[in-house]
Amino acid sequence: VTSVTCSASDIPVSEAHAVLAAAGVSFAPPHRLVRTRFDTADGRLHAAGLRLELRSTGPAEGATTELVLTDTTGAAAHLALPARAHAPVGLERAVAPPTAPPLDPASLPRGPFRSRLLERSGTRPVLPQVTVTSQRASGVVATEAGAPRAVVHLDRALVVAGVHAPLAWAAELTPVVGHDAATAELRTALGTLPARWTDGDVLELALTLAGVDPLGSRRTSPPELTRRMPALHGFRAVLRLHAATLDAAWDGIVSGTDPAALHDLCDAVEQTRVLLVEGRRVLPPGIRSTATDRLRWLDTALREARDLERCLAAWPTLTGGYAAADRAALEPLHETVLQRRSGALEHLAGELRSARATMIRRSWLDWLAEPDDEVPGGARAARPLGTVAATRIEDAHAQIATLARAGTATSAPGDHDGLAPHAARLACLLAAFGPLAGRRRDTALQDAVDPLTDQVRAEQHLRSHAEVVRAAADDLARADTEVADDTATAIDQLTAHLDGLIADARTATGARLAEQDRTRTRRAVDDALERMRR
Amino acid sequence: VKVVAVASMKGGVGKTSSAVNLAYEASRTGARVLVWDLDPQGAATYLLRVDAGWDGAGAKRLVAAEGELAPHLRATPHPGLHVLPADTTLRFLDRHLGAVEQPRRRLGALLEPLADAYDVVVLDCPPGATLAIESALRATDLLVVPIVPTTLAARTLEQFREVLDGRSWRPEMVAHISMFDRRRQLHRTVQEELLGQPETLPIVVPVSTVVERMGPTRAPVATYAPRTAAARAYRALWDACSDRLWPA
Repeated sequence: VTSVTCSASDIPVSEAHAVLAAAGVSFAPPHRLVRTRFDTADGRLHAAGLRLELRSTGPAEGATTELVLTDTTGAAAHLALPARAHAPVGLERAVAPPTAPPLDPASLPRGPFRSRLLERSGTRPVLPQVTVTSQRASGVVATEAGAPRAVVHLDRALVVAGVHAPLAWAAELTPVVGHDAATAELRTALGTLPARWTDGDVLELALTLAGVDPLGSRRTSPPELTRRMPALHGFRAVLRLHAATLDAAWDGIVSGTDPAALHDLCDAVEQTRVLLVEGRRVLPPGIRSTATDRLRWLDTALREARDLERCLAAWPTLTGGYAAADRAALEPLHETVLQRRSGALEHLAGELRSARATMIRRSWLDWLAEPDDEVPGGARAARPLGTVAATRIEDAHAQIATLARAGTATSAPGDHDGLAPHAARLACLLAAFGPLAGRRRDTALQDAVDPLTDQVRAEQHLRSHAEVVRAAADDLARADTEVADDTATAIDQLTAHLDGLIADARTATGARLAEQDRTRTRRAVDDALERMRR
Repeated sequence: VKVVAVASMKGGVGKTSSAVNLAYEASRTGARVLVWDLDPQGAATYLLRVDAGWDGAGAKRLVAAEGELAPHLRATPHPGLHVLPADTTLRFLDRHLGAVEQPRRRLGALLEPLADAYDVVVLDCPPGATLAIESALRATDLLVVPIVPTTLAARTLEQFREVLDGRSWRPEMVAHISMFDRRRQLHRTVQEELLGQPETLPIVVPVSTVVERMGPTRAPVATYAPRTAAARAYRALWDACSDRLWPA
């Protein structure tokens, strides 16, 4: 279900219009259309066959805005966004393209649209890649009952990334389910014009015109793992994937050009650290021990900037329910967090430029670049990857199930204190090796485990937000200027609000944890592990 | 994919109106939606402006081992909303299902290949508690029962409980009040009783010319009367369904 676009620079739009009208197309009056295509920095949506666009129709004030998610399997999903004044917090700016900001998929309303997007983008923001404005006339060949048989959109006055495109017009043909022949007829009709055809819609054409790589600024493709490959090769393949992200994100932070780079680097370091621990008796002990120490140092260096960045990303949500006056009263605190973030990023960039950091990066990449067969491994390096991965996942889940049983038996709220490391470990192992169980079992496993690991992560983030807010409040109190009464009150309100959220999250974590000891969850885990060991 | 069946033992209670409006509201909130019109009357097909008929495929070929749904899907004028049109041979669906192995699994099996293409499938079921309905309910995640607040119609919930009782695949069931006329004492009294049932949502679709206009306009209510009580009720109904299908 993919579109094709026919475009021309030297044929008047009236000719295209006439050809289509002769083929039975009825056009609605033209309207102004602004479309912005989004993807993660490493093009995850594109790699997954998904296209996300923000589409705004009509005059700037009172425009109708929606997010459209398209894939190759079926209908496009349309998520109507409320008018700007009523948009959810954090989305106000998103409904006013073309200056679309990065969009956090987690801020979208709950439902299948958000789920599909989060599934593919992970926790990463999606960034605007290219914006196209045009005057669009939409045409339809309809059945007698009024359902569409063929749809064509004729765009003119195209502006791509702020520059007038060298196109007189572009006609976008999107197949209509159940009526392939009608679309083919329109294609034949347009084929009589000496125009250029490209696969994909006008936004895809715009990417080419603007020189944007749809795969994003950083390319990482998942490694091809098999259950029977040597465990050492499998671990190294996954480590190489994270190292590629680490390598690319590193420069993004040092240069300060990529807003998603910090997230990427933190993620890559966290996953790598877990894999180093889980790679015991698979990875060579010397390399494992050295890399573990070095990455621990890197993780510590990243922590402050990461926590500040996360807190700022969550700020609109945290303060969304406040009255405008309270939000204004919090502005000095917000400003302090911003200043701390700038300082932390500057310090981090300095650390990453240091000789020690450069050596860590170089030596790690060099080791991973060596041919797998020439690298000595640990005692279990040659064992089948599926067996080793299943054992590690089983162990991580068993630890969680033990905590779940303890929590259920005593009903004490503090019983899941040691949960976070096991949850992080399990999430990382599943992300790396879950596909070895096959798609169906991997999905069932994720459905059983992800709600817990996501919840644990959410609770941890709230705790880190609370620490950031308290530290910034201390900074503010120590500053020379006196803190206004309403600001002090608003800060107290925010910290109390965060404490309440943490308490709620803790309860939710307890509930999710209890599910891990249920028969259904255990069955999903056992099923997947049995398949991985096969 | 999440399957929502709109069903009732009784006819004329607003099943098709609920199914079409639910599907439309789902599509507006970012779901890829398929309406499967299982009612041989084809009212949902008609309201979504699609020509009835499966190009001669018919119910028999559909439920046979090689039957598949994909070739019969049709787009509607509403983005993100497709329909599997009804045809008159559906009145023999029970008989054809009775002739295949595991008939209660058949409709679910037909939907399986579409699992990646849609987020929500809305089944517009004919009235009754037939084999076809059981097969539909077997594939269902959420059963939505519209109830007109009259004494007989209100028994529908109890009847569904009996049908589903003891089934391992029992879907979650919710009900909403349909065709409510607040001028009628009986409606007001029965409404109070229904709202006391655990499955009943506090959502009331009023009897209204706005809903009746779906026929001549062949469109969901929100497309031509978005600010009316009926449109708001259908929106709230979808929100309630969505909360159950994608819990926090």
